[in-house]
Amino acid sequence: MTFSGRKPDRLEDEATVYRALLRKQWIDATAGSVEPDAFYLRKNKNEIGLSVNLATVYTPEQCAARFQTCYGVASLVVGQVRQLGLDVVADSPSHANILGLPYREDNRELADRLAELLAQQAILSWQPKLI
Amino acid sequence: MVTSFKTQGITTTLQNLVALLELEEEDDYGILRPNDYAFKTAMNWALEAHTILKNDFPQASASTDHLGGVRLTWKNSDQKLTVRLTCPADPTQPADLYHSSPDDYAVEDLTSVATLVRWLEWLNLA
Repeated sequence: MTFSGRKPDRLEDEATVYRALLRKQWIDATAGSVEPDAFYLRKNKNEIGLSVNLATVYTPEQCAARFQTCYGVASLVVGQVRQLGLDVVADSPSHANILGLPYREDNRELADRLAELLAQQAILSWQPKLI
Repeated sequence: MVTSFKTQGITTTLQNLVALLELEEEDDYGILRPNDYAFKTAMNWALEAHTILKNDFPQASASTDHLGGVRLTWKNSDQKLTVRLTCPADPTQPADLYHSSPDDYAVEDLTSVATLVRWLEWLNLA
């Protein structure tokens, strides 16, 4: 996979990525945690991976600002994601995909489990201030 | 205190479910409001389980997938246990139940309320 005409640098295990939380229901407001709902692939969109932004390029606020509606931003550590048998691969200098997740339509057991484990790893890093 | 919390289980669950109907039909991610089939399926399983569990019915959070299906999630955060009912928007697909502990997980088709009751009791008793 290349971008800008060169092979991308491999993301270090210590790297942090941000997942924009596009639905209110992806956040457990009581616990201050992220729900597994945020970590399912959409087969009808032919998604190959879960979209994330690199923390070396964006702040959580900047990540959120890229979306019309964003209820929060979750951070994940690349090395921890890899420990689940997944990978995080950059496709541009600022963006990456979490790869290796199955569609729920194809493997509901593994899709549910990985969504749950990613949610447990995720840290709710940013939420919009209440007015 | 505990009894009061448990009594609210079905009430809160139904409130959470009904609140999904007030969402916009779609958002940037996909379908946001549940379709009728998924909503009624989730509602029926919850009510059936409540008739057996009564005040022991634990409260669930409710969410929709990107296709208009409904998920009801019960958690025992102390023990890190989860029971999750998925009711697809597609009537040809069965509802299923995911249950997990730190060491084990599985999904099974939900064909009998006894299955749902058994796993909610497992969650309660842990």
